[in-house]
Amino acid sequence: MSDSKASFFVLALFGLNRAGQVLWGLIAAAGLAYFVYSIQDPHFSDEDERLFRAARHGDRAGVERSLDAGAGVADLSPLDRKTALFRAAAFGHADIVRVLLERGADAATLGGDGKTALEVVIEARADEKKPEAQKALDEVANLLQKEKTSP
Amino acid sequence: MTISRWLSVMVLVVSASACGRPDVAPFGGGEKETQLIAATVAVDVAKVREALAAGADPNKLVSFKDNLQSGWLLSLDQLKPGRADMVEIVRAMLKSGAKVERAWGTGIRQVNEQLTFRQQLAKPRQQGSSDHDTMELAVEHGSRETVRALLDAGYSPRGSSFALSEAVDQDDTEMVKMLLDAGAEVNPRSGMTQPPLLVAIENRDVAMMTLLEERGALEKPPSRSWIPGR
Repeated sequence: MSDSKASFFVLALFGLNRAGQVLWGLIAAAGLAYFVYSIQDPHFSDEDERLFRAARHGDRAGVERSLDAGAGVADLSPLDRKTALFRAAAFGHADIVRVLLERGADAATLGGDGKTALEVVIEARADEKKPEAQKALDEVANLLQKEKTSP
Repeated sequence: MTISRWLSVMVLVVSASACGRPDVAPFGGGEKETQLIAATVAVDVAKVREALAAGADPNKLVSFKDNLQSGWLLSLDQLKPGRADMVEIVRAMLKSGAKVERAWGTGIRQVNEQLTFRQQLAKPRQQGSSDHDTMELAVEHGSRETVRALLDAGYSPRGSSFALSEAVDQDDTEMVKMLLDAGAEVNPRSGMTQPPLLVAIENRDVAMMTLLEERGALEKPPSRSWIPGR
């Protein structure tokens, strides 16, 4: 390699010639795009997907299996930036809420709409007409209320 | 730069602009179209057929009651569940060349109606006319028969994520199945409307949520990203 070629690459590496400026410009743009992408799209694994599904359906064994397999109790859904606790709470699955709280879920976490799981449950309870579902939501609300007031 | 390079750049620019060219509202309706609109508003199937047979274009806009209207939009705007006569009119218009995807006009919506974000985005393009997604109207008005008629006429629900979310919101299982069977995306990427699964979750509709899950709905849609591990 001739000296001129070598100096071209060295200058480019440090962004000191046009080729280097273009190269570093592209790298900066890609980095910015990745940063924006990662802000918008929270980390959410396949195991999280199984955890959320189990939480929605009140499948206690499924929730425990997913948590043991590495699903994050604080991981946020890309749909609405809510945790699995919100899903279990909104569908009135008190036993799942209990498991998630025991495994370290934070009842004070805010969803993408700026509400806590307790606020979501209170709203759902106000709309609910079926006595059975009302009872289930009351139980969840009590659990979350206790968690809120406990030291 | 050589002339051939300039030419190729120009060809690229022209073809790119042609790809993005929006539909233009079909103005210029006349007496026949006015008759078609009057028959549609009166829900008179025989007169609608007569006007269409006489050559009225259901897509064309005419001034009707101080608004720009097309017979096609008015027929879709008057749909109600179980109204077989309106569905007859819709089918007749489709047979006479009504545009499957879009309907032009301002419709018969109430002046004080609260517009959705999507409707606000569909700003009037020319002289107060606006275009409406036909499937959205059919789903909004809860007309399964019209959804079927549009699908039979070649409507592709792939790009209309609003229609599926709306059907989910209405808890209309049959309509949701119809749209999914026809190729509606269960995990749409458009940020314009709430994804169907989220609508079902927010409505706490377990049956609908289960149906969507069976059809592949996910909290995180499968990634097409080139970024490894995401």
